[in-house]
Amino acid sequence: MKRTNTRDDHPRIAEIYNRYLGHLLQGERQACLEIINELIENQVPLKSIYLQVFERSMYQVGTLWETNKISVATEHIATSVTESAMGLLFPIIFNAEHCGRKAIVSCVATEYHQIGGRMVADIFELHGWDSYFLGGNVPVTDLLRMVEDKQPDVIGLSLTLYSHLPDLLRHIHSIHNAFPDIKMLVGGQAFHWGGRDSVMNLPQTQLLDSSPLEELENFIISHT
Amino acid sequence: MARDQHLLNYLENEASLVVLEFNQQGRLLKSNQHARKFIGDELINQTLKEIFIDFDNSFTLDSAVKTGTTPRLLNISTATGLPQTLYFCFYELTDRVLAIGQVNVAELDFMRQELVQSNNELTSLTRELHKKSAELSKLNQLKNQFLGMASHDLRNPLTTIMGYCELIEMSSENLNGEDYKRIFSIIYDNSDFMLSMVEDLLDISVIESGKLNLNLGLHDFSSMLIKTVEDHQLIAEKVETQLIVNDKLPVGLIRFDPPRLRQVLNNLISNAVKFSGSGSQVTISAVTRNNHLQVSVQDRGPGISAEHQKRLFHPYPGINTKATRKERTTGLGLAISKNIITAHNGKIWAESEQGKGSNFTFSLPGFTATEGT
Repeated sequence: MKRTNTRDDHPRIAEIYNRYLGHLLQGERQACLEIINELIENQVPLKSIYLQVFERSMYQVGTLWETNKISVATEHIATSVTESAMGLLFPIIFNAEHCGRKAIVSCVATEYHQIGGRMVADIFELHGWDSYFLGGNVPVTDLLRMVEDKQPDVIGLSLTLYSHLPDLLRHIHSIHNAFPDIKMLVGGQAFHWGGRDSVMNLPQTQLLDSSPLEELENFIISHT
Repeated sequence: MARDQHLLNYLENEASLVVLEFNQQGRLLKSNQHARKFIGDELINQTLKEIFIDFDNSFTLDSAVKTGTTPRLLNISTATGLPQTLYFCFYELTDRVLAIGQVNVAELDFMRQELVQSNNELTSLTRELHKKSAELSKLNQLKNQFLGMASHDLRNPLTTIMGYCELIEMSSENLNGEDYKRIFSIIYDNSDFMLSMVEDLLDISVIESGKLNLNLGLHDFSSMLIKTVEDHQLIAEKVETQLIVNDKLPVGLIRFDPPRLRQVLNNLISNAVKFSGSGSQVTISAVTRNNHLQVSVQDRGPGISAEHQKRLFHPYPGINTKATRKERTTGLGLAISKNIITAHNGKIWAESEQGKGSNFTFSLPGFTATEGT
């Protein structure tokens, strides 16, 4: 990322976020895309858009779904709209000067919620890392094959549903057995409900906890 | 009674079920709110055949009633214009027939999963597409920069050659034998550089189009290495650089294309000489490891920065390839060498530290030792 930003670096970001979230929950794709385009045109740093619009709104959508305030259909539409909105940032994301470091980002098997993982992959890309995003529901054998092929410096594993924690632990053990030197970053909405203790002391594993994307950025900066 | 009314109200106003009441003649008498929203408002008095899509003309109220409460798959026209398949149960009341339709939740869930999976795949592919597009765009930019640089580099020696030709033409009466010797030497050097540049450009174009064909055979690599080093002795001596070959070269045979591997050696040795300072040494060694032949060319030049090392073997490195003594270089040699070694199923790499020099190594598989090793 070109600039380091704080949460308050755009004066109207709170108001813009509320407007975006309103449209997002109504499934109003065009209105959401217009807001993101407006932020891009006003040269709002990508970090702010990721942290203060995408990450924040998707965590809010997740919480609303988990507390039965919105349906799974609304959650899926919000995800789909957010993924389209994130696509608007591709020309900026993929323009970074490559630093030669590589990351593989994946969701575990049975986990279909891939948006958090995609954000992580994009942040790596923004910092000049080559990120290979494998998407949702990735069987561990496919993931291991990809690691063998790409020889990444780090693997990011995203977990949205707490019920998939055992799958995540199996992935971590399989990766560590096959590639003991590779560092793993884990994180996602699931850890709001628990599971921190299960991953905290695992070898080569770091949990991106309270502010995942900011913690990720710190990790990237210290490993670039 | 109140509970019955509550149920009826639920069916009429809230339930996500299509509830249709037909008279004995198959005309619609009443529909609930969900049915009106789902199928359309103007339903009353429509016939069974207008509401249900009956492809084989076999659907009647009698046949429907006979199936009773067993769910029956039926297509209906909807307000969106798209037909919808619902599971209907029919209940015969005193003077009318009640049809209750609902979607199959398991089927709907399966569709949803498929949709989520397709959406995930689509967004991942879109991301990859944008990533590749950005990479291609950068490569194209580098290629254009390189072409501009190559054209400039070709024009410079040509300008020099033309300048000296004009000098000979205009002032031949004032030039003596020594002058001619010096001028022809300059013209030769510049032509030689242009030739090597054109050859490199042709090579890289052949390699990039995937047309690099090797003429493989079993040969003695060490003999070729010694001859190649001998070819470079004179130039190295001119710049006071010592070429050292390790004493015990492997004796044996390995499958390779001699002119192509000689080209690799030429690139590595000439680079090492170019980038070494006067009074420096270039060490060339060959050893075998696990049936692999490993060849290294080590110099004590200025070394290469970590940033430049990343793109060292790239055809369009986008870096300054200026040598230490103003010798010119096309910058394509390492990219060509890498492709030649890769075509031999081998590997090539560089280790370098700024201020301490560089070590370029390649390894080739399938070395067979013969007697004497």
